[in-house]
Amino acid sequence: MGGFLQALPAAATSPYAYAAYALALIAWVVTLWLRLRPQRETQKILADFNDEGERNRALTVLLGQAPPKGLARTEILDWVRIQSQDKTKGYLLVAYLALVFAVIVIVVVALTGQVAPSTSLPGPVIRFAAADGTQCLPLPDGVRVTVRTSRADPQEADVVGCEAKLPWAFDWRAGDAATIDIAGAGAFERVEGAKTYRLGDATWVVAMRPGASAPRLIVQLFDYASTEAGSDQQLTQFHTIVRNKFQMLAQSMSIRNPLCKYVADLRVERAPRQLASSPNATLAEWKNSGALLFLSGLFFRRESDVIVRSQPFFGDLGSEADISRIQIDLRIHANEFGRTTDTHSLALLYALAMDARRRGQPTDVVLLFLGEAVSTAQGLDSAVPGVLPLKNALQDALKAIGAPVKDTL
Amino acid sequence: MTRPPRYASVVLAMLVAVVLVAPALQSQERLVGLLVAPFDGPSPLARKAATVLHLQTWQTLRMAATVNNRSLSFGRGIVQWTEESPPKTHAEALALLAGSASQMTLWGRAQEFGAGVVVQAYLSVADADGSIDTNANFWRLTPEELPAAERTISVALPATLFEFGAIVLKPDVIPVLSTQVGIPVYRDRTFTQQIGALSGDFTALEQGPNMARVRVAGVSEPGWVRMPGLSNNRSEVTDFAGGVIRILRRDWSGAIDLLSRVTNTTSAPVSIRVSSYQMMAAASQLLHDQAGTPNRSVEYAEAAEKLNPYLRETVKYKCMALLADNHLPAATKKLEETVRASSYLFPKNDPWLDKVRRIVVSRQTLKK
Repeated sequence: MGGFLQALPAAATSPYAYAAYALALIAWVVTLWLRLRPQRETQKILADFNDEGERNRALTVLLGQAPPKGLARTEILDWVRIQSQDKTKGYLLVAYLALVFAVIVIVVVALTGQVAPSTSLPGPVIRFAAADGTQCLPLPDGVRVTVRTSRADPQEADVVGCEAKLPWAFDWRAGDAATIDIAGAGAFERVEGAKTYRLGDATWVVAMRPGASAPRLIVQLFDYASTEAGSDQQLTQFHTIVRNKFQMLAQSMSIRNPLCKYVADLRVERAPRQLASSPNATLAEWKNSGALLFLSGLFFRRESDVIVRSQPFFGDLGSEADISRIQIDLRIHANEFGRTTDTHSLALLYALAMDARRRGQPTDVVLLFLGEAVSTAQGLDSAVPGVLPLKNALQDALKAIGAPVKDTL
Repeated sequence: MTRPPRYASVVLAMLVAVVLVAPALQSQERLVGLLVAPFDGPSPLARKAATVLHLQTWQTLRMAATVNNRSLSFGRGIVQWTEESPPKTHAEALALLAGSASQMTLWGRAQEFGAGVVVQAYLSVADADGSIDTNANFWRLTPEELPAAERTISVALPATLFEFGAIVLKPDVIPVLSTQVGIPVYRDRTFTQQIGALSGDFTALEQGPNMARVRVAGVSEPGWVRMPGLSNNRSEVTDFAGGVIRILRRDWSGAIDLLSRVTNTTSAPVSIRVSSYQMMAAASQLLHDQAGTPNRSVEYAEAAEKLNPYLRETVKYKCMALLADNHLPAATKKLEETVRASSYLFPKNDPWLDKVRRIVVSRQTLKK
């Protein structure tokens, strides 16, 4: 019943309903015109003929029946009204039936969902949110959502960030229940897998959480705090080179070894806010977000140099507590470009290796990431703040999987 | 000279090793090419930086070894330029190779960082499914210890996707590269009388130190261009790209010359230096087979291992070098130790490593 009531507005404004309205209106206009016509004509006859005999003959032609003799003019009009009412009952019936027909059309349209397509009707916005209520949970590129209803063909849409927008489909009926399937969500799974949604609702919120065995493939790049005026451009440059480096590294790793193919889905997401300062809150957000790595930090000036202090956060992927308190200090300077990209690459490769280990991947797969990380670490000066703890973490990771520790690093 | 339709605007140059080649060698002659794509980034700086790297890499081409008593042919080496949009990924760079005469693409991007500009270059080499049939079995041995049916053990090129160290542009070269006017072309090597500007369609004709003679479309006579040094620091880009071209041309001694310059560039990324040592290890052994020169294969492979012993390819190349040293008992012992110490890098029951183990067992048995 609820569905029927919700479908009524759409049915009442459907083209079928408008056709029925027009038919009923025409029926009523014609009926009224026909009912009033004898009286209009009688008034003309009364005005045109003074002789009673001629007048009655004219009225007989008009009504098919002669009026009683000796009636006054007003009485003739009453007599005509009564006579014509009897004769136009059929017209009234037709008009009434036209009205009933219009109502029936609306009901039938609402019941059968035969609402004609309308491009002006918006489809639902499907919004992905973290299980803890975080309102926006960006999903990896290439995720597709399929919406299914019991009576319509499935509709698909691409997910952009944390939203997917669907157009109103031809055969969707407001009020119908719908289910959704999500493909390519990588590290994420639905909190309420069997939940149904209602067509007609503007927004559907789908709660997601990171899956236990799926790889974590999002790097969240938070805003860096700054004590420097006009550091926006430097922040943008920094974010761009880190993003480019990560994407190239992911592509290269995925092409180089079939077992690392999944890394091609790694995505760097800009979070336009600063990371919470509380370690517990940060860890909780990391767990809920499904991210592989958080990058946050600050810009400040030291003498004539602008310094970026970058703080990679590995959540519980890091084996030691110290690994999540690393601070990498680098000058924003062209000569520091390679060091900037390499330190962050080292953090990413370490995180990918530890995530592979968390997922129970074979040792040789974990070593594909650690081996690459060793190459990167080899080119980095341990005196750079933050590099030595990363190298130590790398050595610990090698030890933990039983690899011999050599004096390479 | 080849002018593929897609690259009509420019086909830069070439080196044709031609004459005095035995018919048998002539039949093996092939074309090895590098395609240089415009770099992404601020225009025209990024494009001009790519042009400079383009000419510098072309300068690494050579017709034949300086001393070529054996009349060895290395086929044709070319460096091409494409007017396609700058690629942004390795996949896009490799896609540019379709229909070209090249097997690898040099590409990259220029970007501002701080007050300077940095050029980041990449090299994408077509894999075994592409136009290079030698990638998968780049270095092949046929140890007698294995049954005839499986008497081949080989390694692929150490890698096919390379990322070079960042080139920090010299402050004085940035304005030169940023102007819309092309690189000046002069009448002669005195560089006093400008006759045109290098842009679009040109063909490189002759090499000189930091200069090249070019024919530019719309200019009646060939002229000379001076190649500006991009950075105060030595970059490994052109030496490495030239080295890979020489490897694919089977110019083993030439490859070792260029790649040793890369390994000596300590600022080069470790991954590039490791790959260089690995290719040198293969080249040294193959040159030894070809010309009887001393085989330094194990030395190069161990240098790669020293830089990064945690790479599977490092171990494979060392094993290949030791396998090739089959006349030295010490090599077998070292091979056995290497396999034992590095098996953790391989999947369980890895067929390649199992083959090496069988060879080791066979050699140890023979020794007894």
